[in-house]
Amino acid sequence: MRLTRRDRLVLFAPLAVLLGGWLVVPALIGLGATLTTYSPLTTTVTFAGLQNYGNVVHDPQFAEATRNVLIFTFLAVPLELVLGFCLAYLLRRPVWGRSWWRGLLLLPWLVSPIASGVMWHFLFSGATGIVDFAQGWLGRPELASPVGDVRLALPATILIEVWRVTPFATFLLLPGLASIPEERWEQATLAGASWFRRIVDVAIPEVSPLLLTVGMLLTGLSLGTFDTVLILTGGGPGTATLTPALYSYGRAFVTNDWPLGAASAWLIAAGVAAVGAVYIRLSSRRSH
Amino acid sequence: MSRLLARAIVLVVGGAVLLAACSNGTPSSNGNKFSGVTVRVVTFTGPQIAEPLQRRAPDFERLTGAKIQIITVPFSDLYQKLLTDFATKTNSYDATVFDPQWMGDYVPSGYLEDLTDRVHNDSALQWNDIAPFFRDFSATFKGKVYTVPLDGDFQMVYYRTDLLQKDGLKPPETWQDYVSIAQHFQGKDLNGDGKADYGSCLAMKRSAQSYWAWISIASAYLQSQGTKQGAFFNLNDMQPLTNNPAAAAALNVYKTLSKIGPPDQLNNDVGDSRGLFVSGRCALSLDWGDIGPLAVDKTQSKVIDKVGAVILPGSKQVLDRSTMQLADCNATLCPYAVNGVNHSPFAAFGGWSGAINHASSSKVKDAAFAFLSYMSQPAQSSSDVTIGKTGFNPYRTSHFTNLGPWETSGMSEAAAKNYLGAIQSSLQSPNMVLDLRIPQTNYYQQTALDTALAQYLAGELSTNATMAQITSQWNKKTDEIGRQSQLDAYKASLSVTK
Repeated sequence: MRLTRRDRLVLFAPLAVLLGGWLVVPALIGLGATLTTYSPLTTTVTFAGLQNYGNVVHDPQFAEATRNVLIFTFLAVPLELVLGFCLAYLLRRPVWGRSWWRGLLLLPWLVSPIASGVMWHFLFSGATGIVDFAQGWLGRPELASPVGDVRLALPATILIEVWRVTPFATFLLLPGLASIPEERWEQATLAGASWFRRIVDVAIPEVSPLLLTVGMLLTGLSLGTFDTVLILTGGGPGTATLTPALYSYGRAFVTNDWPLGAASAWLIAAGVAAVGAVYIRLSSRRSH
Repeated sequence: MSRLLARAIVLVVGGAVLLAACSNGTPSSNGNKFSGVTVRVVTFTGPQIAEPLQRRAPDFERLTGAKIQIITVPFSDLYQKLLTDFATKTNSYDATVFDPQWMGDYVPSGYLEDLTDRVHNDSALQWNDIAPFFRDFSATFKGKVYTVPLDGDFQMVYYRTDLLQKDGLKPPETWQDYVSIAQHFQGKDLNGDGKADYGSCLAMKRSAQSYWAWISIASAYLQSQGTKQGAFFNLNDMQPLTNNPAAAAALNVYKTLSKIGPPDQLNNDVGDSRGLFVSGRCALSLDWGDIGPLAVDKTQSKVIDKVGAVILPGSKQVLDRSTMQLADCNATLCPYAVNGVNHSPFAAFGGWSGAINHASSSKVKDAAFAFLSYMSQPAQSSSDVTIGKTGFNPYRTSHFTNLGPWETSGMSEAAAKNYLGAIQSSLQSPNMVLDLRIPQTNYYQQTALDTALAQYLAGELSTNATMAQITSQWNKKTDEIGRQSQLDAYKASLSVTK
């Protein structure tokens, strides 16, 4: 059955209403606010042009936040992809207790980012943390929580996010790997290919469009990193784990500088849109 | 005839008593007085603060017929949720239990109900039993009462009595003493578990409640001429008092203390430092009144009857406002000094207080006030302030004079007297430092100050750069809002009648 233009419109209408009312319209109002001095505390609103964007770009805190999120993204996304791919590769075939393993692996992703932040804060904590407990049990001196150390806070936050997001990548990649015909693996094995060559020559070509999609999705998620960091470190120590999303939240909801908060949010949105544009370009090149 | 007369007298007297009770806006008056009225009260997630409200709401409902809905939101969202709700006229909350510092933003906009007449007409509230500081400053804005105090907040220093006694040390009188005692105990086993413990445990996490600790330290150096001198801005030109040798001295103490404590202290919030202290791992701590009740909580404390409290340590040198240099205390410079030490107890935060949405209907406002009054009345609050998990600290005269509930909570008489004595010496100090309460206080403290302090502790900024950053950001915000209007608001906030 071929859908007519009218059918498509009818089917898309509910989604359009939802997105329009609860996403597009508020986002456009927010965009308008970035060009003004609007705040719930001010009685007069004046046109500010691009001044709010200028203020954000010239704020050293935002520069630090951008640097942090770029490091975060360049380290976290490849790690999540590689680990997610490896786990999906292991789970693609029936193994003993596969359903059980799948459920267990999904748990970190099911934990909300806020709960994850609280949990890791206590796991790392010097007084109650399991890491410190293990150290004490082994007769070793107390370990400081890495999230309280300026040099280790960002790497620790990255690892926590990798722990949380890797299962998500696994389950996105799993159907792709599971759908590779068994004959392809057998042919490669008969041709004497090592497991590494089988991955490079069989698996990756088959799932590369999926890898690109998942990679772009994870990049978008990383650029908007917020909740875990808010709870785990609040952006500290110093500015060690500050992210643009956290910066935007602070400006909008702690200091009530809504235009500045919205302007920084739109800059994040622009970053994510740029990633999306790259994805579309790469996908279309592939399809041609 | 005489029987008829007697019946008539009983009827008249009974009716009068009933009428009097009905005119009194308290829940004991009439079981159905607020039948069908729903009051939506918003506060922070807690469990502190929300817990006593949630626990006592059903009792109030039974007494009055009102329906109390306690809505909780994270502390970081509470200010914004209220502001948005008020500003957009959504009015989804009838009352709030909030930070009275926010009155500087809410009252001028007309969002809060003036409670002046209500508090004076409600005999059950016993308004005059509330300590003058909380009545006249915390609950009052420009001469009118807008909140019902439910909590009393001062920062104090807590110390382990057993440890100091054993080593022949006195509780800290100055911040230098505090540092010395902390250094003395750092790395020693303080709770007998064979592990090295900490000299001092403070909250130093970014985007948390840490900046109040720095203000507690800085107050001793910045304010010496009494409460009305103020510790944040110069009263002539609203120039911040954050870039001078006094602020530098406070920063140096703060930085030193960041290294005499748990190794992950930079990521510790107040919950962490309290947990460490009551588990016996710290010799000293700086906190609100919460550690007192927590230290006698048998379910978590390992330091029962081993904790003492003192007024915030002071300084023998203070900022001379005429030269803007540190100078030794003398009778002129430090008129309230004790043994040559200037103490400036800091009323950090001001204590959780209840307020009512001006836009709610009059019946709902009556019920909301009755609920807040019920929570504050001595019958309820006397025991609530002795329970650690409530987050409520003493704020009524009767809380200090009636030791019964404290002893019932597990505190010995000596410990109760010591704990309440430390709060009382803060409350009675003529040199108390009032917390900032001007428009956009949140920006000055939670953003500008908090960020600079976090960067300073992390080594991203030097002492001079930290002071310059705070000062520049405070000045920028002051100029943005209006220097004169901010100065007027600041002066108004200091005009407390004690």
